[in-house]
Amino acid sequence: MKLRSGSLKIALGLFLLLPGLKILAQETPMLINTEARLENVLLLKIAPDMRVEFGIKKINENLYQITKQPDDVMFSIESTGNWDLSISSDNSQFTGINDSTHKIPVDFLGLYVENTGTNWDNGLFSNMANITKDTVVYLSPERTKLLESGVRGNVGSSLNNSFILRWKFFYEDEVLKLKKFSDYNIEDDIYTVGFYITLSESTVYNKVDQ
Amino acid sequence: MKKIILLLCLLFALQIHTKVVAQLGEDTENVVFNAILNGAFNLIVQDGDIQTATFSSADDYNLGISETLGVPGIDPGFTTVAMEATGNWYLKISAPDFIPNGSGTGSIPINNLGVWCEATGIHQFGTEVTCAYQSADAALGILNSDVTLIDLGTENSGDQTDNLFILHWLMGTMQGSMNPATMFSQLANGVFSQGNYTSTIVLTMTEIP
Repeated sequence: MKLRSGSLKIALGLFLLLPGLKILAQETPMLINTEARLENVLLLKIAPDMRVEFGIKKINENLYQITKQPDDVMFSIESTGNWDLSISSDNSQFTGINDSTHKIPVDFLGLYVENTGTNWDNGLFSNMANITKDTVVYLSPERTKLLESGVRGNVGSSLNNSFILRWKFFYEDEVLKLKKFSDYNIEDDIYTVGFYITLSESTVYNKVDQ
Repeated sequence: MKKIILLLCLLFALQIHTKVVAQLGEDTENVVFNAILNGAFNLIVQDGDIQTATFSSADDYNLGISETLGVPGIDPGFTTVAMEATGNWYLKISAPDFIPNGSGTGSIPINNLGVWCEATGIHQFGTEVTCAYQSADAALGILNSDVTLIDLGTENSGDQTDNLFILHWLMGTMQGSMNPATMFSQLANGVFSQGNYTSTIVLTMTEIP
């Protein structure tokens, strides 16, 4: 019995020493310094040929047929900062492709931006304000702001900032469309004009500061 | 005459005896040589103790960067470490979140930084040592708390030629146990902003008693 008691004491002693041995295990630390540089990115992803074209044919004095609808333009923005977007035409008039003397003022065509990204465009208190959310703006050689950063900021990738630029003839659904048409001397042709989309950094707001 | 011869014989015998006795009286001394082999555990960072990760394009923010991914990506993108150990050991890794250095707001969660290991010494993974993170796809997302990076296999004591490893760094690639969100989405969610950030990775080699 005495022997067993002694063995138990030794075992207990070893058991108590084990954690101590582990603590005493030699540790050698080494440091690696890491720096992450998050540089500024502001990128507009859009097809390079930025022109809008439509075809029109005169049926009679009061009736015209659109023979070619202008194509929608898909674009996206990748930005590490907040941004604003504007549009302008490179000329004040559409020019006929078949006959360059055929002209139509660019405000003949309107446009609006449809948001297909995850950043909200429901006004200044969301990610961005979409000026064309409930209206159509006309094309102009002057720069027209379409989207601007909201309170929540519009930083993000293509997933966040993805859009479709849709064209709309101003006469559509308008009661006075015939008058509008009568204002122009429209010849049968395919009309075209180039346009610029200007993406600029917004200095309004930094989301992390919220 | 007989007596003289007997006397001479006795003297001769005594001489031999004296010589024998003298020989038996020789003493020896010992020199005690103690060889004390204390435990030695050295962790050596041979190169790559400073890493710079630069995000400069949308692809960098969307896909992440490494020594081969992105321009310039991570420079140099790898760290060579060696261990000299008289006993068995294991290697832990941890780091705090990236914090702004001058510019930038918020902090970058450290699990955006990943690491995977390559054994280039005599000791190989699966035998003398083990590592669960042997490819970019199986990368370890670094945590604030210690995680074992290289562990004991069969027996891993040895010098630098035995224990030589390359740690490959990744950032924002969302591989293995790294942060599953892109750097861009975290930026868009306001976790951090563009700017410069720093963190210090701690590698700890621990003796196995």
